[in-house]
Amino acid sequence: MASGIRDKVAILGMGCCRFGERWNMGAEELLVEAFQECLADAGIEKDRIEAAWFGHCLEEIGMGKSATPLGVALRLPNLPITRTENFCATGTEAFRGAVYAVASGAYDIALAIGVEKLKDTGYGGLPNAGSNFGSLVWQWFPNGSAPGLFAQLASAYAAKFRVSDKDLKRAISHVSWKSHANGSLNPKAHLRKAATMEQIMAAPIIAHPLGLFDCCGVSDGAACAIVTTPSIAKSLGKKDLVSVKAIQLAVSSGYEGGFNEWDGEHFVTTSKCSTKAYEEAGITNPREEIDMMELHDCFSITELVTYEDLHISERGHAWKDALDGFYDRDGKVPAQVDGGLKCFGHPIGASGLRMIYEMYLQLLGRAGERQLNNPRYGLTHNLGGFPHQNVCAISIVGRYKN
Amino acid sequence: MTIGIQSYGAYIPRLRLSRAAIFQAMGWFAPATIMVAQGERSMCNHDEDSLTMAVAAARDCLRGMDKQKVDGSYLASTTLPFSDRQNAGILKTALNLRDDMITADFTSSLRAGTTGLLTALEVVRGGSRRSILVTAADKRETRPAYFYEMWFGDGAASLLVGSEEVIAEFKGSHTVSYDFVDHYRGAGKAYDYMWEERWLREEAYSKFIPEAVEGLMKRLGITMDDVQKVVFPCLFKAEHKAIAKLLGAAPEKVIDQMHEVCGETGAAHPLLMLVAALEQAKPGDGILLAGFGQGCDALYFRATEAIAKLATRAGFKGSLENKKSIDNYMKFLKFRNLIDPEMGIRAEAPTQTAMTVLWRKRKMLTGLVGGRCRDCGTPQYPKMDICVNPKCNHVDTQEDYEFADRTARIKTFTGDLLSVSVDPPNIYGMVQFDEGGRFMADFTDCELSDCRVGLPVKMVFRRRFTDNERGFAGYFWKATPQPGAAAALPEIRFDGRVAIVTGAGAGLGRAYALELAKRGAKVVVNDYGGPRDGAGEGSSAPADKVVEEIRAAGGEAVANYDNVAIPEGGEKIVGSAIQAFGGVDILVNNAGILRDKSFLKMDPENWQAVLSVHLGGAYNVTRPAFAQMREKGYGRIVMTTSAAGLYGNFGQTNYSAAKMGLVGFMNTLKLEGAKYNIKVNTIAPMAASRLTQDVMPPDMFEQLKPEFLSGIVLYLCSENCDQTGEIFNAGAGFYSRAALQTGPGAILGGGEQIPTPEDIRDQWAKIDNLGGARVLGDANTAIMSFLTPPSPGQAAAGSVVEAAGTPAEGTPGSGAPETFDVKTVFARMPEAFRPDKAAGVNVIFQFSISGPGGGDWSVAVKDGTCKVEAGKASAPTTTIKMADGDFLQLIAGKLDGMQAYSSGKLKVEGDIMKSQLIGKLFAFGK
Repeated sequence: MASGIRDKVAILGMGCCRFGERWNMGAEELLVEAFQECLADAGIEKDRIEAAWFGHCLEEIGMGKSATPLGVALRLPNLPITRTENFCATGTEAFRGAVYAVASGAYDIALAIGVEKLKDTGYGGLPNAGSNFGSLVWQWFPNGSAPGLFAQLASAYAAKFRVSDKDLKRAISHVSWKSHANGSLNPKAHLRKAATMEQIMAAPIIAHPLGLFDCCGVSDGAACAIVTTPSIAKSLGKKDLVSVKAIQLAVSSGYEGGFNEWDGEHFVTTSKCSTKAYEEAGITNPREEIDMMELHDCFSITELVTYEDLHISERGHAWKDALDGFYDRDGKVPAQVDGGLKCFGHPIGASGLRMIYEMYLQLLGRAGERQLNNPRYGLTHNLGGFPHQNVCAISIVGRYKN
Repeated sequence: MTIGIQSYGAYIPRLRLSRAAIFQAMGWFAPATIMVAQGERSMCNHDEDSLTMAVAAARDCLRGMDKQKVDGSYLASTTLPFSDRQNAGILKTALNLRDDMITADFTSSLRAGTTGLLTALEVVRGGSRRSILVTAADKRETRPAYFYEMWFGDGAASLLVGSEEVIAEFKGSHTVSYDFVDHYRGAGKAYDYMWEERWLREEAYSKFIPEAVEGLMKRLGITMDDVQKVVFPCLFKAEHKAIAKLLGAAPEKVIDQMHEVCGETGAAHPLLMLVAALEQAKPGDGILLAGFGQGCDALYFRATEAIAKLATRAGFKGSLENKKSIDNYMKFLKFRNLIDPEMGIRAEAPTQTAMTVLWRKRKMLTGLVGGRCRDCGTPQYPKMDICVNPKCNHVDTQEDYEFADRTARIKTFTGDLLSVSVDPPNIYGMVQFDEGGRFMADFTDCELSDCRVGLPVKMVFRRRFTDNERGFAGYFWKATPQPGAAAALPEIRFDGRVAIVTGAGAGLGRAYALELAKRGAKVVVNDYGGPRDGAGEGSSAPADKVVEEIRAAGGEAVANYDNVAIPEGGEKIVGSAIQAFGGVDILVNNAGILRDKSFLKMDPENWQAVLSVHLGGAYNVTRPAFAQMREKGYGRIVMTTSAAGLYGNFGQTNYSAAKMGLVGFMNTLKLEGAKYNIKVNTIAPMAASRLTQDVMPPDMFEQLKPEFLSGIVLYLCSENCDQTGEIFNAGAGFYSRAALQTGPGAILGGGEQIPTPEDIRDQWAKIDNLGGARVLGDANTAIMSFLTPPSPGQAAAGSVVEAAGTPAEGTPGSGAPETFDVKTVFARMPEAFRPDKAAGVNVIFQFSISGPGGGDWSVAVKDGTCKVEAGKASAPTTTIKMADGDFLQLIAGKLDGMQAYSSGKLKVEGDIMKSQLIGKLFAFGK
């Protein structure tokens, strides 16, 4: 009978690039930057690594298909490497592979690394795939963009919970304001300037009602983790261990976009995935027990509804909680402590791992100016796709308990 | 066998370009075009072409007809998207017609429409096909700044031809075919090449049309007397008239050639004009149709009895009415690809269409055919092997289910300025079909401001993309608002809200109840049903009647007959709201009676009766309602006062007292309700009702309809209304705010010496002065402000300034003071210092301002000087703690110091009395 992942795997080391417009670095170079930090943090030689999971989403503007680019960039000696891709949840997907490999007993030490190079397209925003998005879907699905497809949440949320456009705009602006305040404390973040509410609310509209500050930017970067069993980690001299308490994934069935029930204002996948994650981690009261989290704030509205999908805010109340500062750094459940996708950046393949990186640093007391007071559990929420069809990946990490 | 036209349809694109706009842009280059620059020409939207217009016209034609009986489909046009790929085949797939039928494109001449029609009629007469759908459409391309750009319009028309239920019987035809090249377009060329118009007029129009018509008349043995509708296109208005005259047709018989409203629609035009004729035709009317282009087709029909029974459709008239006039000529040029603006790298995305996928999914993509599960009945799009219903998920149980003609609503939407568009923003969202099924769709022919969740939409066939590299056009369906839907779906709604209106059996109360119900509220219609003076028995009739009216209009309401004047009545009224609808969100205290008497004749019974109903009644109903609202954390209450109360009215001491009492009631209730989001406001209506019948002259009475009050009362009851504690006069379209204002007053004798009546008399002007009067939000603020002299800035303003207790939002000039920050205030504090007030003052004020913009500053006043330093003083006299936002409001004069203190926004430690010096020592007023 399966018993979940709780406390079976520990993080031996992590590394993360400075995210941003790294014009002088290609994906290959970014991988090495993150990997070197990770190895040093793990305190092992490269030859101890037995298997690798490589997260890379937009290979057509990056390194191309298959796992070979990783083997070549890091000169891994004919290791078993799997390339993973699950839209923006790619990073957590890579982590998941490495973690399960170790938990299964198949390997002792495994590597999870993700990278994205988004700034070689020649224009702002995510690339437009056109007819490469799938031979059928492209012939009928709306001519949309990521901001537009996520902006749908706003009209649905406002209608369902009778929130005025003005109040909703203020609430999502606060979400971005808070992330900017956090990002300004993070030397590795892409955007490090605080922003005022007025700036945010008056910013040009990208997809109604989302403005410039409601959309995370487009960044280059890589992030990396090396995982092993707790006993091996201890034997290698690690004292305070950060272990994986839960990893869950939930993928859409077509229900949201094709059946007649979903109201368009939340993520069916996240609601279910978080419940499973809490169960796996042994958490019964997330609002009280989750001390910090990194949500998938590709857009401010996504973060807002996710507060409810994580069962921390009540349905219809997230906007009030946000405005009350509940999720601010000095609030009850700080979210996006490292600046989030909004300010740290969103190199797709790396993001899931970057989220875990911040939780890891916080748990070990290494988060510098951003350090929270004695956190126990950190939650990461990494979402790929669109509100009506997506994959939700959640991880919970904490201090290892035997 | 009777054969002829069974049905008709038409489509004219919604966009209409003002010809004057074309002339304004290009008249400098082509001044002669002024001659034809009247009215509007129809213009395809960026996603329309001949094929999409043809589909629209054909759908219109097929309304109320049996699609399965259509044995053939002809498509006529000179501007079809494909030279080789049967366009009529795409049309037929879009309409989801049978596979065993004949399809054909008729092209290469402006006469193709009538030729297609004639051919279809002859085929049906031949007996091999029961009915044939004939559609004609054209979107003719022109270079800018010439007559043809002005003359042409885009449009389509469609006719179903057969032998059953014929509405216009086909009697016969005559055709002449001539290779007269008034214009031509070689294969592969984009634009027509025109020869001289004079020659076209004189040698072609004027010759071929009469020749064909005369040939027809001779053949059928008819004259112009047998013709009631004469239909033929002609680009030139004058020539059109002249030919009609030549044919002997009286002007009233001639169908207009539509220049001013549409323009000439190429091959579609004779058929479009025929549709216009059929819409007007009466049974027995003879209709003569001539189509022109390299010759002429002349056809004669006679309308039958069945023409009056045809099911409604848009036709020419409906298409013409559904319009949006624009004067943006540049938009026309871009949509026509006559200018080439930068589309950006994002637009370079690949556009290859996999033909195998298009074939496999042709019904889904071209026909908008989804599935419905045989087992659970769920309609779904797209149709897939496994049912989408999570409780079903059966395999291979889907039947074809057409979505194209089904009604739907917007479920979610956005306006996207990032995705590639030639007409930003790109509007798209989730479309939910009323009978089930949903998918994400592009919206078209709408503005973002039209979109609302719940807006009814319909599906239309549009061009999705153009693959210029390969010369391919891709099509799919988009959602567009039902014509008139945006206007019909008002923004302020009360769905899910419960409203109680007292005295709703007639007059004002009834007007409120009806409108609330119309906009989705569930209404308790309370009316005791008694006479105007409140004496005597009640009746259920008034309330019942209003409930019936509401229900007949599709709304929800219950009647209640309890008497507001007794506490149990109030309990029961609110009780009925809870019982019927589960709670109460909105209360309009409107019930009232009248017992006017001059004061000496105002006996105790009359005095009390009026007070009991108006004021007591409001108390009796509001109290239990307030309890509910408090639980819920939401409430909207409206009291009804009167000009009589606010200003006085002879003979109404009882009424005036009661009405003013309601204002007092509101003043305190608004404070008690504030933290529960319960807002209380008052209206002073000027309206015709029982209570005003004898006080107004009859013609004024007529003008003052109670409905004039609904707008403002509903606004005050709406969720997004921020106002509370305010009074509004309203009636006959007039609205004004009324408020109690308090003058600055004066403190005599330094607050210690007791002023004598002589002192009062001497200072009367000052005491009585209303200059600089203010609205005060609550008694404590008021009293504190009387006893504390105002800061010089406030008094100097001389204009009405809002003090705390009334909301900052929505009041004029009260924008957030964000142009200055805390740091700046302290930097400039020395400038605001008033040394003349500092005699004998020796204090250190310590300011601790919290929040991101805050900090610590000490302000030391000694020996008539002021020193401001950042940081914390070691021994401050008085410490003041505020949040940064509140501090700035205080400095700006928008937050009263005493109110801030009493509400906890301003905390004072140390010598509290000395804090009062701040207002004296520093002039902060702006």
